Amino acid sequence: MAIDEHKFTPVLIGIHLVALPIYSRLPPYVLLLIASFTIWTLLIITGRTRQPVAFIRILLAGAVVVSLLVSYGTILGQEPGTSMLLMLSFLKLFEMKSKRDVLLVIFLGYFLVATNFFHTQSPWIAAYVFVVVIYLTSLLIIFSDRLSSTNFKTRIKISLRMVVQSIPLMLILFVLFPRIQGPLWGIPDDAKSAITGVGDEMSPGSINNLISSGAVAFRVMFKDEPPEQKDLYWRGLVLSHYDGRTWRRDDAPEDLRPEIEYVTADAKLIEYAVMLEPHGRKWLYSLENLVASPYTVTRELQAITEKEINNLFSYSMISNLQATNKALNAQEIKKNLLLPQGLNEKSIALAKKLRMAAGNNVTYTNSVLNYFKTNPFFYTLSPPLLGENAIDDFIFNSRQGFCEHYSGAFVYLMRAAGVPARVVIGYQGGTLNPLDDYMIVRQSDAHAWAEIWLDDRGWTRVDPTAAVSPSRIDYGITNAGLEESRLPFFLVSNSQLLFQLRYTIDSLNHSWNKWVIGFNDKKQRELFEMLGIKDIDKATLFSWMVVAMTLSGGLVFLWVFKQGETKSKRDVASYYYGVFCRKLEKAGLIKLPSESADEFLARVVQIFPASKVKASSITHYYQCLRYGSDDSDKHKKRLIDAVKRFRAE
Amino acid sequence: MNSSNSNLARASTGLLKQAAKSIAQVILGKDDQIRLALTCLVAQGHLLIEDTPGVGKTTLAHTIAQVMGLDFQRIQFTSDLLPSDILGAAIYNREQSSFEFHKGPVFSNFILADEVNRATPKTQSALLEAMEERQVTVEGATRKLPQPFFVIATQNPVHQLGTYPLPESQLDRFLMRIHLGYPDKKAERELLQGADRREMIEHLKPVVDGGKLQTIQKQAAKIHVADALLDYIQAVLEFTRNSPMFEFGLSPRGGLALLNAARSLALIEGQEYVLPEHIKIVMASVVNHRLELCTDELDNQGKTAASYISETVPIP
Repeated sequence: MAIDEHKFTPVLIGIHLVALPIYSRLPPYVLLLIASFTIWTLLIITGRTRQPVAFIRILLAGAVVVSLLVSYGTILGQEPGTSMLLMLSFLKLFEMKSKRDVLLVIFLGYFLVATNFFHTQSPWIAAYVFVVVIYLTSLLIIFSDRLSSTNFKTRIKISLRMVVQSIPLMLILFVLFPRIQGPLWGIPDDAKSAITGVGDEMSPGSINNLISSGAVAFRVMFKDEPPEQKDLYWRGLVLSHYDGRTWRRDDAPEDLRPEIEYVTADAKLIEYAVMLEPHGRKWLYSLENLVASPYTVTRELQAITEKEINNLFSYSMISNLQATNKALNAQEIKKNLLLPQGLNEKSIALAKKLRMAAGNNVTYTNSVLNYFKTNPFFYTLSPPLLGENAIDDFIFNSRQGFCEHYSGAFVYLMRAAGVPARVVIGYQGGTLNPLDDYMIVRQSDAHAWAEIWLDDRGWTRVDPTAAVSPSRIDYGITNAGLEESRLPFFLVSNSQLLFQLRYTIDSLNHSWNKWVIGFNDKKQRELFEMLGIKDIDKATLFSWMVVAMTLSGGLVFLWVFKQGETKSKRDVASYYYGVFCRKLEKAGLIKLPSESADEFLARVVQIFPASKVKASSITHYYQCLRYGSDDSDKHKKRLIDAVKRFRAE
Repeated sequence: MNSSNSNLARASTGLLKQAAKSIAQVILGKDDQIRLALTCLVAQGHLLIEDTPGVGKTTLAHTIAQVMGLDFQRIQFTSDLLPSDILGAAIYNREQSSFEFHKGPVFSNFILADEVNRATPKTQSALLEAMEERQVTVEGATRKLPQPFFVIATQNPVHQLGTYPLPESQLDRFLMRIHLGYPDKKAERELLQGADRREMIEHLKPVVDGGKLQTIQKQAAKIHVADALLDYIQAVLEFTRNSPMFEFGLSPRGGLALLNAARSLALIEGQEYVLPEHIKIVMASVVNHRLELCTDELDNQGKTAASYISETVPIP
């Protein structure tokens, strides 16, 4: 069947709708090609030009491959692959001749719209995909509706009904489809490059750039009451190595030794579950003094997973805020006292002077903090640049800095006086969602602080930022007296409506993460355990899924079949008239759906004049039964007899 | 249907067939149009005849009135015709020193509104309102029109000069619109050879009268309609409302018009129930003036809204 060119327009719109979310990520060459394909198609639709010949189409396909090679260097992988399919869908419009070509483009659209989930799995994109699927289905209706008897509204209505009817199947697939841990395909993965979050090193400026991001780092559900704001130190990474500018993790292979010594005070255990947004790294965030974790814990009390976290990741942990980590060995002492050679002489001199005056390490720590407090240090998001002797420059000249400056300088002063010390980066604080029972920790809560070794207490947290800006720790980032223009707008806005909206949206996001994205292998197993089925393996799950799909499909089939059957039982007339029509169909005469019985009779008589009498009486009995008020069995019997004896001749 | 009822129906059919035969003696070669005009009359609807002058619009109306034994009034519409010329007016009576209402030509059983699109919209709407309400309100007093009440309006093709085309909302008030067209060769010859039509009309004997016609009309309303047929009408309505081929779909009034016209036709045909066939026969005259095709495509193929519907909507 040939396709009218004006029907291209909805298909063109469809491909654009499919691709809309990925346009912002596509390279310029690809966008340029897509734009020119679109204009070209519009010219074809308006009749100003014709579909290009095969040779040109091959050249264009070549241009597609070249644009991908120029932009990505390869045609394999997620982004190049989806871009290629997208561009080829546009190209297909140039050779659309038959219904088959259109169907190909539409089905490709269904696939392409699902690839949006490679990039993000937010509820918004899911809603968008849902809408696009409805639109694509309405396109299928256009091309199966040969009479053009539907308008846009009806098509969308039918399509919506079809999509809604498929929800039960979707749920079966969702609950029963075996979850595969790790990525489904071993394709080159380029998703993590653009993820925001705390990096694995700290230099001046690395954290205050995060502060202006309102993105959620993770969400936490506490089993009991959450700890106070000032105790919410979410440890991410411990940085021990300093080169004069940047604090880094230890280069040495991680010394994994889980047996950690705790001073157990009256243990008040805090149980919490974290839903970590993908950050492309291996470490997990936890409160201090991790007691129990399902993942590997290093000597520095960092929880670490085996693979980078590129999808939403949820885990449960237990911390004991009153405990202290007393594990330390000689190698560690050495490591946490190291300073770069020949730098920051003035600071070292200051450290030595203060330590002499203090007498012990505790007093010394207090006097360093006091030094920050009494001298005119400022807490600011836009500190001036520092020179080669960065610590000297900061302590004696600029005196303006953000948490990374204070924690770095503090650890430097500690080490200079012989106190083992290290920098910890992570997040501090968090906001309870007043509409739901969980806490949101945002990128803007990113923070850096210090831990020092005291012989009698073990590793002790000291936050020099608190000395400069106590309200940062007690009331959170928005109350730290920082420049408001640098903070995310919604954090500083006072509008009640915006406040409500923000938490409602986050609440929705959280539920989506919890129930949809978070429904992983483990949750699936838990669900079946709840139903009393233990240790279900993937093969069983899969076969159950197949059985459930078959059953529900069978039920639908039965229902449709049953409906047809009861109708034919009720309506003997239609049934036997149908038999009559089929007999004629075999003889080569097909009744059109819009043809009335009389019109059909006229044609029958014309072609099979010998059947005139029989065909007339069948038509008469049928009309009597179907349209008359008399549905006596006598008529039915006559109709049945006549139809059974009927032969087209 | 009980036997007395079915006897009545049979009698009605007989009378209608006889009437059709009488009319056909005067109006030659136009059996289908005569049948439709009678259908319209039996369905208590009004008829619009659209054609060029001289094809026998007036003669047809006159003949029907004569055969049906109805009192007949012809109103020639002109651009200076006033509403009071149709409805009547209150005139001061000097002797009784009071106003007295003089009934206009509309107070008749059968009205021929000739060249209705020559009058101004104001005058047109006076008639059309009377058609719809079957009563007339002048100077605050409402007066019922006689029963039965039947209007045949004739209209020149819209593109001719000096016409005020009836708006769609007014067209909807006519149950049917038909075209007469030129007679075929044989009929034309007979016409040329035959006697003066006007004289022939005068010699025609009425087949029924107003009272009998009302009985027949009641009989038509009793014709059986099966669910399957209502399904078909609804399918037609839904199709016209959803198809992009039409500017607007058929109104509920359009649906009722189809049903009533089909019932009357079934009675005329002597059928005890309505068939999809009947719907198809009345379709063009009932539907074409209510629907506007969006594309020229069908027009170019010589298709009308009705033929498009008949060929597309499946019969349930």
